[in-house]
Amino acid sequence: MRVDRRLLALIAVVAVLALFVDGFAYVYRLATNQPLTGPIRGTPTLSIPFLGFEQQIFVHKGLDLQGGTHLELEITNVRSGITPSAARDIAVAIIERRVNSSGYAESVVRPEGQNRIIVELPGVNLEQAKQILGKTSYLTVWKWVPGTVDAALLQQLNPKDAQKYAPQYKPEFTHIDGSMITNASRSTDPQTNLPDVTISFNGQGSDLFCAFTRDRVTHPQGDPQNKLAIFIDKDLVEDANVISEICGGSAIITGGFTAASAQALAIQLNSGALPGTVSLASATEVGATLGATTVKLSLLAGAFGLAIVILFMLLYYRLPGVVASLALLLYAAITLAVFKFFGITLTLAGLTGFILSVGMAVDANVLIFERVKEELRAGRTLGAAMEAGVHRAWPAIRDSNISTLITCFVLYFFGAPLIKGFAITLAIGVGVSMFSAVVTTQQFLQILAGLRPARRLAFYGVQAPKAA
Amino acid sequence: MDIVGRRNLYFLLSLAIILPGIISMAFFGFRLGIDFAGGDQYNLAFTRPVQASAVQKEMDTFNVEATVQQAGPNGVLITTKPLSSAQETTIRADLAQKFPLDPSRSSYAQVGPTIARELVVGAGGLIAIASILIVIYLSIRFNYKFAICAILALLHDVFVLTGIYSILGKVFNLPLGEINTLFVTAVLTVIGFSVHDTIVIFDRIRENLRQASRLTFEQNVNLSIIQSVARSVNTSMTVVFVLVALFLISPQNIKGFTLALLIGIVSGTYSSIFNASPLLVVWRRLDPR
Repeated sequence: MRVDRRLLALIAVVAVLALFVDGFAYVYRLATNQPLTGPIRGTPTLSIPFLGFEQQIFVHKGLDLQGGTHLELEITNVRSGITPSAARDIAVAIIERRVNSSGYAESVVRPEGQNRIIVELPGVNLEQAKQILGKTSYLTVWKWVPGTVDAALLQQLNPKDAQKYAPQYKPEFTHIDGSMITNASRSTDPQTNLPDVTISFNGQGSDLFCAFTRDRVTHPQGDPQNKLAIFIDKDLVEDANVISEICGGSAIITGGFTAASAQALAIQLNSGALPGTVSLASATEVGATLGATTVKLSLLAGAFGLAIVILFMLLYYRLPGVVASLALLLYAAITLAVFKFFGITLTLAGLTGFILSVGMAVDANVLIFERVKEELRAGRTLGAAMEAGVHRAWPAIRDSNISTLITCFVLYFFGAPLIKGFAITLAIGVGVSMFSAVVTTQQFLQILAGLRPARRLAFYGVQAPKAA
Repeated sequence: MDIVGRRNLYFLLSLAIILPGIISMAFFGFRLGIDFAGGDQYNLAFTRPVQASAVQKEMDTFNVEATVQQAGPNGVLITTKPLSSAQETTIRADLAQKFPLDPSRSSYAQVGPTIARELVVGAGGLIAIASILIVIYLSIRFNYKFAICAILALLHDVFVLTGIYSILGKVFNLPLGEINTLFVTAVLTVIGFSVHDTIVIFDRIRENLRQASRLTFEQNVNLSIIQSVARSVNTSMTVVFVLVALFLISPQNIKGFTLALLIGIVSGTYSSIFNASPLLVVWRRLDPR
């Protein structure tokens, strides 16, 4: 086999592209007249206007590396008439609006599985996150009717509130809920000067509310059947007498609010009615400095590992070790470029997968070199030994990497989010290493075989075979 | 070097490591992290040294089944049963008031019971699915005997790893031996690595068998192992270097992860040399077709 000029050109192009992407932050600084050190302004973006191409290029760090809060929310008690996944999508939209209106641009809100939502808020601690997401306020209007409270009601409402007039009366849903609210605002009761919340209904809500209050007024004052009960989530916040029918499309909730709690309730009601009960399934909060320290330590370990591997390859395999080291550096450059260009989020597990794959990437080289050594010992010429070495090492490289890819595939499709990240980085590592270790190494070895000074067998850690 | 001839010795050595682990798993189980057990975990950093016992005493007043462990002189790891949002806020505020807390270097995690249940089922399932797919692939590339021996070696590594972690977590009660999502990731990586290593040797056996020679199957396998051993050890050494570096300087919360990888990779190298291929010979003797 001769040196293949097309493959060499491909390697050169890939290497240049990889280095361009890796060093893109510097290109961007130069292009935008920024100093080369210190904090960077803006997000490095590559745009080629006449191709309509625009891509942000930077390392996307997971929350565990940059600090922030990761929440997994679960939607239960979905309102009737909505499928769980539709409810999930509505909730995603509502939560996204809440998050964005709080000014957290880099946050992520996305559906996960059937009834989960993942919220990622970089640089935000858990307390702030809870405030941003707000309490999951789902307002419902109820009336009291004769009857006894059953188990289903106790599940839906706070038992103490549901049984307020037990055993004679039980609450019954009027089908008026928060989704019919068009606006809510904090207001003040003109008589008592206490804070309250004014809500406006849409057409449907207005009609229902009008009919409902008209019916309630027929009962005498003091009778629970005259009352209007407003629940927020499970709790009774308002249980007022209805004095006259209310048909103007608005109502006032008074309920012993403070100015702040009235304001908070208004905001929650405005943020839209969540289509079910949203509860926290899991939460992770990472301090800002902790993430940065982890990155620093991991990179240090990676650099140290890389240095040891290169040293080892040079000492053990001599000249081919140089080739392997070049291939390994190329590997690291390409992989990092892929992460940056495709915006793959690096988490701690992913970073470890990457560092680990450096060790595995060198394996293909080791396999090839061991074979080359054997062929040389068997007395083949350098060129023939290198060709045979690559050729005979290939089945092992192929089969072993495919089995690793199978594991990655399983991890990606069935694993938890954290595991997915690891699977992606490992799979990219395996893919890139096949290129760097096989194509690159093979071509470099062929170049070596063509150089006269490189033909001494001692350079390959092999003693010349005794003349037969 | 006669590795195949002394195979029983090597099988015994594997057994000596695996058996205590299996006993520990059967009787004590695992020290489950909150990923699997559900609950809350504070990884707190302080601006000056704080004794875990002092934090424990404070946590006991909340009655939330808290266990507090020292994590370096300036840090503690607190694990509790699942807390409500209000409880969590109260505890945090209280700790911030009583101890010199450094929030920017601390972390906190909460896992609800539903997620925890899914993970337990998921982890076992992942290992099973991955193993089955690998068996299918190897059966196509080699044959089913090779595939099953490779999977036996893989299971060996899984048992070594989980067994040692059961002992670390339950017998020695070390936080390092905690089973969490990262540990599952480590196990799955080790599976990939173990099969990788085994395949390289099997590939050599496949190649040597194709060439006409006067060697018996047993001698052939032994030769193949010896021809591959330099590569196996070299590759593992490079990975082990990286991992030792990672282990030594990694922060407390991922030390368990890097240690698991380290154990798994050493075990994977051992099993591919001393278990997988000798098992082929045993099988051939029992069923000489």
